Amino acid sequence: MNLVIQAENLSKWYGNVLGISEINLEIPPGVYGLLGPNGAGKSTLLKIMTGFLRPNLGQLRIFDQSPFDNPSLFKRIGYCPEYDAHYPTISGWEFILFRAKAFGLGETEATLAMQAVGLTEHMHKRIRQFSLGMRQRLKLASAIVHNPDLLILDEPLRGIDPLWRIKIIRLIREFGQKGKTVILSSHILPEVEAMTRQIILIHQGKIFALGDIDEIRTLLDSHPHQICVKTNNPRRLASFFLSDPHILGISFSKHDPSQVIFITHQRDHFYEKLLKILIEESFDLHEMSSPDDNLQNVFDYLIGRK
Amino acid sequence: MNPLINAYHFFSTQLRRGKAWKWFTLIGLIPSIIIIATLSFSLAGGWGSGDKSNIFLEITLNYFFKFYILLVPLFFSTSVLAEEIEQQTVVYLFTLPIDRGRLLLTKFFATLVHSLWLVGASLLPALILTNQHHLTSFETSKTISVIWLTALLGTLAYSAFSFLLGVLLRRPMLIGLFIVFPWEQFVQFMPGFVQKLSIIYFVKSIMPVALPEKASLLRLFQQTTPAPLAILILIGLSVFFCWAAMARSHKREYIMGEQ
Repeated sequence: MNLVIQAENLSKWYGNVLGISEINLEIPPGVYGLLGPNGAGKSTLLKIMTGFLRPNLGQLRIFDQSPFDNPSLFKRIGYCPEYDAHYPTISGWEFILFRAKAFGLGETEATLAMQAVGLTEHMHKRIRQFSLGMRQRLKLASAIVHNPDLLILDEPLRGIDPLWRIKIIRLIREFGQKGKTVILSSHILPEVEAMTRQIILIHQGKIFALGDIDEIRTLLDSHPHQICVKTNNPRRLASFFLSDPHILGISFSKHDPSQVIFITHQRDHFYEKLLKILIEESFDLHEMSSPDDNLQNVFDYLIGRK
Repeated sequence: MNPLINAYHFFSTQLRRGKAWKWFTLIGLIPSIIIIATLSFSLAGGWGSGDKSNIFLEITLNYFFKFYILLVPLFFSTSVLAEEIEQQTVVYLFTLPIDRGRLLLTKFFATLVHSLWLVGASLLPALILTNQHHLTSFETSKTISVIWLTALLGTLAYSAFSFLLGVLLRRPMLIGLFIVFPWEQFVQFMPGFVQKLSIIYFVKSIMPVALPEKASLLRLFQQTTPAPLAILILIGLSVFFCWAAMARSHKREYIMGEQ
């Protein structure tokens, strides 16, 4: 398997503050979501990947080369930073054309990049006249102008309007489908789910979990899981589970009298039993949901916040 | 197009569109404006019609050699890297397939050209106005030319030093204003070798006329190096500062935003 990114015992600290610690990673082509709370080490990892920081220990290799002070490697890497960094006095077109020419490309590639993010109409405006969403799309254009093999995107959808979010998500997925690699960091977890099932969880400077979201979910089997059921008689439904050893807790919503919340560490068993009761006892099922059924909760469980 | 030429045009465009460029153009014209105002007032019979060349020369030399040729490089050349880090736009530069040092040197070259233009274009009219009655004299023209070229050489040396400061330090502009500025003035009071630890010492060595000094003690300690040697040293120092800045830019890490 061709590995795009390899990290071996990668560690970085700032004085006494730990950035990342002994990270080991092997990433083949594909789209990956890099998740973690603030201060988890995501930014440090991305800065090492983009050659702005040098590890204190261990090594990181991209396409089998160290990214630190290695300009030739950046022919294959596109980077969209998290922060709203821009040159206010130049136009969007001048900026993208500068980037394109720096890669030995020309106006055709610059135009294609502007088209991909929908900025052709406004491209001759100074960047200071751009809205936050337009500036964000411009950053994306600068990252993709040279059609890189590895795209590193830090909060790529920040400030982008809903219509363009959908288009950018499609663009990122297409990148992955072409056999390229995308590493995207985001706090808006449903967006990550929309772009990829492959996630890297980072916490306190260490890789907490890496793999398909479903595989990571299997790790959760031993963790309690919330399931909300809305029915015509929630208290009667709850009574069927009172003596069940797999049910860790039952509660009722203060705001919605039709809702009962079960906490279980055996989801499969619970769903099987619930289905049977609903049919046999003729309950009206209004709604069933699992508030834990998103990446935020997977993450919260894994790091022990829940 | 060569990527570095492309980068030079990009940086130059930014410089020309920045507010600083307009402000420094105006600041540079202050001596000329003062001289024109004084001459106009004199012509109107306000201050008599005596030759004020010496006063004008003192104003011009003080303004440019003790203030403007330090301030312009300090402002523009410290920001070669510092501004990119502050605005966090360095991410767009150092993710290009261009050597970091060469890219920064290209930006430095763009700022240098603009600094030289600012100094050259504002000093020349002031010198011409100062010597308006003697312009036909070969000696005067030669003196003006040497002063003008010395100012440009000083601008080069201060720019290169500021470039290095900007790469080495986190707040280079502040350090420059509060340490370099006073040092360049203070060091002239020091006897012996210490004077040579400044750029102004070598600039003064090239000057065809002595820089006006308020303190008579300065004249006591005034030493110079032969002009050709001073020129070589200023050029050599500039090359060294640029080389050191480029070398440092390769080794340093770049921390932006939160960790």
